[in-house]
Amino acid sequence: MQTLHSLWQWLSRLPQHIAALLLGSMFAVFILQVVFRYFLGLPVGWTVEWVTIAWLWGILFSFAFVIRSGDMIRLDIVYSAVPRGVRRTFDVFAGLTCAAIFAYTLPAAWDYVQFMSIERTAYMRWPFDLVFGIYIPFHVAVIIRMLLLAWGGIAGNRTRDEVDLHPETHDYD
Amino acid sequence: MTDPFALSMLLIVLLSITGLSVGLAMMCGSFLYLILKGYDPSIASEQLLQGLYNGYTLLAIPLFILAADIMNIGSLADRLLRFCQALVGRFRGGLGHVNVVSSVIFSGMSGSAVADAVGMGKIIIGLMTRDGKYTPSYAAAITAAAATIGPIIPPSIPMVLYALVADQSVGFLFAAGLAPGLLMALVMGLMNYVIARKRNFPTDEAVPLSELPRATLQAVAALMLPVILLGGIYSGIVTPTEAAAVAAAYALIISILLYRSVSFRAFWSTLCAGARSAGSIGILIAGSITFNYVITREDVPAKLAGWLTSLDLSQTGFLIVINILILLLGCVLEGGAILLIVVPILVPAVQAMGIDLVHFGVIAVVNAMLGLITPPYGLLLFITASITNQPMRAIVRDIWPFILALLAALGIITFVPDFVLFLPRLIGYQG
Amino acid sequence: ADKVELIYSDTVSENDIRTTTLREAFGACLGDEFEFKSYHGATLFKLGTELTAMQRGNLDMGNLAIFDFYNQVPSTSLLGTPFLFRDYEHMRAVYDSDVLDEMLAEIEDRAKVKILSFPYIGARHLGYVGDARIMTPEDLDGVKLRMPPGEGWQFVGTAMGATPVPVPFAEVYTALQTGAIDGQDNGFPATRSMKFDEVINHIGKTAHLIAANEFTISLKKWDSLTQAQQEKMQGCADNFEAALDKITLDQEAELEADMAANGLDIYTPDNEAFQTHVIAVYQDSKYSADWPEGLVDAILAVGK
Ligand code: NA
Ligand code: NA
Repeated sequence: MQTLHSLWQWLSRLPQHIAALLLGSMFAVFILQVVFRYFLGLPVGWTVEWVTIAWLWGILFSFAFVIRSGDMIRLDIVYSAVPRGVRRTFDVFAGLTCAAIFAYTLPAAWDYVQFMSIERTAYMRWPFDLVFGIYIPFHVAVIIRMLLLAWGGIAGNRTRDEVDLHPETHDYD
Repeated sequence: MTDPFALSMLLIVLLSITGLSVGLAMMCGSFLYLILKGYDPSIASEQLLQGLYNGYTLLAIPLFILAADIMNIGSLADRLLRFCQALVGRFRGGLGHVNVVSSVIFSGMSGSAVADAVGMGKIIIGLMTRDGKYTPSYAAAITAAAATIGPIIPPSIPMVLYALVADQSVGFLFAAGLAPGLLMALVMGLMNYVIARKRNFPTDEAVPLSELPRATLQAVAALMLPVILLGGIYSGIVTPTEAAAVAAAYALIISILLYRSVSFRAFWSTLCAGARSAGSIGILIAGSITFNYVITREDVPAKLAGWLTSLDLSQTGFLIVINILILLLGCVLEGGAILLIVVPILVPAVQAMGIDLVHFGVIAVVNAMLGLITPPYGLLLFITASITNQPMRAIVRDIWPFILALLAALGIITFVPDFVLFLPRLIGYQG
Repeated sequence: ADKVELIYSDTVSENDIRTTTLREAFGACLGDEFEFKSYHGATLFKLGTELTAMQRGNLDMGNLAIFDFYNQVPSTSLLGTPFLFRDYEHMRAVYDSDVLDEMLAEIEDRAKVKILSFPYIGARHLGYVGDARIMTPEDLDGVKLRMPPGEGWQFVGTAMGATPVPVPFAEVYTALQTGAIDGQDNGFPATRSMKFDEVINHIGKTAHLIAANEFTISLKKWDSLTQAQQEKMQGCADNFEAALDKITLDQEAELEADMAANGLDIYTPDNEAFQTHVIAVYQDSKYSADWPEGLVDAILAVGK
């Protein structure tokens, strides 16, 4: 039971480690690129490509599977000022509208990603349907997260942690 | 209202007000526009993917975040404070000056105001409020105000965002921020001095001079970074994006060599936090990229430029209007959101008015940073409020003088272009 | 009847003379039957994404580079080979002839777009610091020639007989100054805007790459036009090609005269020797794997 529990804990943190790995690889590969070019005189093209793909995957993957609602950049002046009942209505409205639009556009998005199999990246020659493949899990995750948001509004069981702003994650301002 | 563009704008406003992630709200608006126009909805997905994939400069953002976070876990903040105390702690309002000067030095390592407030802020607020020398709300206010220098002095994430939307050189923008950043520090120092006299804040005990050499070495290591960055970028040794990786590596190396305080575990949790930040800013960028297609397709920037030029404003009048507009928006919007959503629409008008785009970049970024300390919505206010456990109201009361001081600095930055542009020109900017 | 709406996107900036030329020589030329909406500076679609946007029906027209086609029509790589064209006139004669008809048909068939014309955008030359003129591939032996980073670009340098050095564009000036490289291979406009002419003393007009864009329309849009509309559009596309050719040639001539007046030695090397050498190297390399049989000879024969 104990092992099962720690296995579950480890698994639940797995997405976070994958995202960290992507960011770490960007850092390492960039340094590699500078070292290769200036100290060894060997320019490498795949590094830029890897870093770009890691950045794209990092963003979409993190947003879909890692970050909490409080990490998202939101405009919560009105939201935090209104009473709880109104907030729940807000959640249902925003959640359902966003889920509906993303669900409606899923087939077109899928079609685009599939279509991109006709192009390949410049250096590693990876097909673009693969490179852009992370978009589909992202698009689907948005639908699911937004349905959960709406459901949270209906059931009234969202925790403070999900709702409150975590300003430290807004590290870019 | 049947106009697809108006409807999509309305949707974005509604979804944002009801608390949806602004990035997602803009994506929803873009999708809605495409659907109503009968276009292929996948254009929004295409724009998002290709925009992020081709936005090479953007890669600097997670790396600058990483650099700042490494500095924070590497106890550099602690040691920088020691140096600043030795330097300016002996004057009236000493720790207030220490606060401002340490923000200047830290901003040379960090591209973000929030990283500054979270890292240095916790420690210096602790120092200021210990023994009841300063009120917690004053400590919080000056910390929040000083943190706005972070992205003005290079490196700077907001400058990278501006470079992206206005198609300007990151290297020249970085150089342009240096003098304004120091000016902001100067006016805040003056304001701190005036308040310290008025409220009779104590002078702090002087740090023994014997500590100065070691403290200086550590501060110099931090001060070297903007020099290395600008030198590397200007001489063409590294691209601005690579410079971000070099900054992170430099932070890691001096943390390990000088302080021996970075464990792998701490480094890893920094990466985890960095990935979360990248996810949240990344989706905002993605949303603004998709909505930018709509804006372009509707010729909004050109129409706005036409309208603004038809008002027949002088350059001065125009700049005043723009400053007020961004300041007001800053009261309710995030700094990054202003740079990504509002500024791109303004750029063609700014250009049509014959205003230099590097100069305007500094104006826009300073404005956006002021937005971080203006109520009701100011991230730096939230952060320092949660560190000090003070009500926002108290902090806002103490931050007004600093906002006024910064507005005076903004006036100089806005109306004396040469003050902003002399450094970039020195390294070859033709503008 | 409704106007035919044409959505066009390219990466040239809004204020560039080439943008005004496009709007006048093509857009205005089309007349009242068409509504030509052009977006510039890559604001609508990013660089290199125009082809797929056209294929998905989200964009009607663009002015592409030949390597935009490599992924989908590999045989087009031939048109990016150095010394394929002797000079501007030869390039123009080849595009005006019928030797490329098969390749153009392949493009229409596979990429579902139609190329209307091939506007000239400039030639790359050898600009270097040296005591003597470089006349033949042998003279390039041991010369450290900066080529843009990337495997394909580096091979251009190797094929010409030089030692290619990949240096980022922004760093070329310093590298020339410090002697890290002996030369670079940009055209006159870039040589002037990056001030390379301050630090080099020769320009050998190899014109090793004579570049033309592909002024392209999606096949779906093209097929939706009446025959009269197609003829009108083809005429305007040719008009645009002629106008852009003239602008580019004038600009090159003007800059060349100015640099020569400033004391630069500008001359024409033995380009036939270069051509024979380079084409042979390419034909023995992996880069010719997708070239259609006999097409090189057919192109070289044009105008001879
Ligand atoms: Na900074
Ligand atoms: Na604000």
